[in-house]
Amino acid sequence: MISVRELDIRGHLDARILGGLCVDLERGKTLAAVGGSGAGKTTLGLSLLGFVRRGMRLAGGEVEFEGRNLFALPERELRRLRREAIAYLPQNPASSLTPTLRVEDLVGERRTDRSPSAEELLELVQLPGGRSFQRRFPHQLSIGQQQRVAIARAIANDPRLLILDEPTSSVDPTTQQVLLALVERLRDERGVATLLISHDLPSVGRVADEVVVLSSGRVVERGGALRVLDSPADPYARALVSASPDIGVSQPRTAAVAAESAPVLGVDGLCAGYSIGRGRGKRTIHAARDVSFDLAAGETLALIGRSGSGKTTIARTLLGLHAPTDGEVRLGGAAIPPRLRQRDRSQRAAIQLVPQDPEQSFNPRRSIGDGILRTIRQISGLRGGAATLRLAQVLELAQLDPALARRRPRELSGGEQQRAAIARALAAEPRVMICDEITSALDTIVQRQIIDLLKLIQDETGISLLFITHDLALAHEFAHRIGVLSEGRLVEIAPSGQFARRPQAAESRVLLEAAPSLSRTLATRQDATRPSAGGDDAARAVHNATSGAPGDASAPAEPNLVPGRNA
Amino acid sequence: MTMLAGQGLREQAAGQAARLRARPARPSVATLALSVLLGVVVLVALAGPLMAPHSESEVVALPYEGSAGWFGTDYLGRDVLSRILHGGRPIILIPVIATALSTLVGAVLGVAAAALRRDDVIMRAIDIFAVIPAILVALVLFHRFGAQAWVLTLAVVISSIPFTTRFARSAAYPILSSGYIEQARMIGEPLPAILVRDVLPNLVRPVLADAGLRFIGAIYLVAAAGFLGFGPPPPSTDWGSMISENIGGAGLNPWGVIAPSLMVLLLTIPTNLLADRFARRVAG
Repeated sequence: MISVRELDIRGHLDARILGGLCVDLERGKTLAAVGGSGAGKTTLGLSLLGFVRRGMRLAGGEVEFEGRNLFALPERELRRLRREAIAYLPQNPASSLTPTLRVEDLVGERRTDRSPSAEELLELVQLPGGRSFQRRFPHQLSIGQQQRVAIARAIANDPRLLILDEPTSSVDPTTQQVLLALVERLRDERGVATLLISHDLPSVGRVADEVVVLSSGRVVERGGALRVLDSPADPYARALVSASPDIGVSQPRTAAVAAESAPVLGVDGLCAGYSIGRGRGKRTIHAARDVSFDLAAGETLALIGRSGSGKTTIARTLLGLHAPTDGEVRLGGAAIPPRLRQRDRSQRAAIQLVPQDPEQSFNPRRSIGDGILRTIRQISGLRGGAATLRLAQVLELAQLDPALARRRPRELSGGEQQRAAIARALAAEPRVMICDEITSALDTIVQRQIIDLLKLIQDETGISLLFITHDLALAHEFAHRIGVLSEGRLVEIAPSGQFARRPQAAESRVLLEAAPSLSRTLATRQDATRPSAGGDDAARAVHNATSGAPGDASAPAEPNLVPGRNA
Repeated sequence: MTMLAGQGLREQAAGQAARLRARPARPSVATLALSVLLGVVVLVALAGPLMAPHSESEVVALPYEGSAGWFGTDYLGRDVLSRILHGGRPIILIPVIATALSTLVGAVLGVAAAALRRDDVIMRAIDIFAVIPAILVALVLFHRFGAQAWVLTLAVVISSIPFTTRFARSAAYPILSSGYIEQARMIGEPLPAILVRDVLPNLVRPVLADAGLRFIGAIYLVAAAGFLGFGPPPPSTDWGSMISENIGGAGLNPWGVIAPSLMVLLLTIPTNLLADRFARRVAG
């Protein structure tokens, strides 16, 4: 149905974005394009719309859709095809909603004669199809609802080809499930062909028939999804698969933490909230309710929870950026003032943040070296040569090429930006480093490198880490203990191995159930295709086997960690 | 594996860097042409008195004599070309000075409003000024202090400040709530240092772009004041005053009106287009 032949797309200075790319996609099939950031995945997706982004040009090849080369079609024809036959869901689907249109218009705008009604479309993405919902504007919906409206809108034209660009990286887990189920349903009921662009291998493993692995604009490996994801031949593909965090196979981090030492950071009955609205509509959102935990020297504590569970508020409160309504933060046993302004230099230095968006945390007009030097000057009071020496030290510790220190933040790749942010935090010689979703924007290979780096730094400096994430698989193998937040409450805190084996709180079980696992997904699918096995039972058996085994093996060796108050 | 991925990254970063270095692209032909045109007009306006064949008050022929000199004579029989060359200074200098002043004051007020979160006090006061039409401000001031250059400058400054303040505030707001400001606060840098290091440098380009658009408004106001008879005292003149002086004889010598109008257009159109281009580039 769609066939990409020898596609060659060039960027600035004739840099190769896609080189001699060939892929075929048939009706009712799902093809996944996987690879790290900068591999050319999005460019490939857009080329199936007959579109080449600004700053790039088509240097050769063709994209044939139902027998016609998209790049040779007149603009009118191309627009008609995009309107009637193709659906494209961009990376951040909620941003594609026009704020001044109601849900019914957003969805209705793309409907054709053959399309299901707006109500049916909304129900397809598991939203209420009723009148009152359809009359709402995007800002009256939650982010998850916005994303689903965007999905309903994308498929409202009853497409024959569906292009999904990183559909699961920015959406919450529920929407992720809705989306993947929808892809399967459209494929089975309407024979829609899907191109899934993703670095989320468990999702790919669930829905893809075929996989192409892209690296620097070339296909390095292609084949059936099960084969490629299970036993990739190409070294890059192997790296990609092995870097993917997998709760099914990962080993929990065995604790090398001195349990008897006094906790570095103590949090006691912390409550924090926001007030929203004005006048009579004013109310308070409780983002953290009575949260208590301790963090030992050299320990990594992961805080996990869904979006809105209070993870970031707790981090900001510890940093003194957000004033708590109650409770106490202790540093080395002594309580410290709640507000940043009241904290002295050593108290400010002791807790450092590695932010979610490192690029934004550096002044765009100054070099990142300059940004790190500011911390050195302000916190340690070093000047001139001594400060430069210290800069070299922290860059080395964060394994960042010193030559990159002269660059501006946007001239670095995502992984390098994150290393720079880590170097800056280390420059303050902190006792606790708070990492707020620092891996969520990175592809899996770079993500793995950052985690390895943090482990190394922890071994060298004995720093304690508060690792905030929504990725349970990653938390499981990187953190000594895992704390689960639900609606601002710390509902469970336990050593990683024990947590994965015997989750106590209901929320923990939900999160464990939803944790991505490539191995489990593949096992489920292999069983489903094997006629002798009894479908669901077999899948559950494999599930139990994979999740239980590694944890049990390491169980007796686990020392008793510093218990949290809520544990 | 590490090496492999590292190489990919390096490649990507190098590509990014090359792209970014290449970004300040060569100005387009249109931009160059507009700049040259504007340069010539400004030069004529500033150095005009030196080039003029006659003084601004010298009577060279009968009134509205179309055949005398390039553009004929005005309502008193003075050379239109000479008066154009003499009358360019106010329409350039007053807007330049006024825009510089109002941008400076507006930037300080706007950043202060954003940084101190005193929107209620500063911005509401500014809003009250914003509703008064510029020409009304000018007329009231002329009534009180007379039609003098400094009064006109003051009128332009007063009527621009609400807009420059509003703009500077909205440009400073996202910068102040950005990650790097938070980072600077977390290590305890004092607010003035943060303003100087982080806020102002990132504010320069957008505020300059706004000043360009503000400058055009100032030219219009100066031209309008001249047309309404609040130009420089006779026999001095400016292009706006010339239009109103000679409009009665436009049938006899149309150049008396067309020539100064053209000069105003030749000044404002390229300025407008260039400021627009610059503003768009700043906006990305």
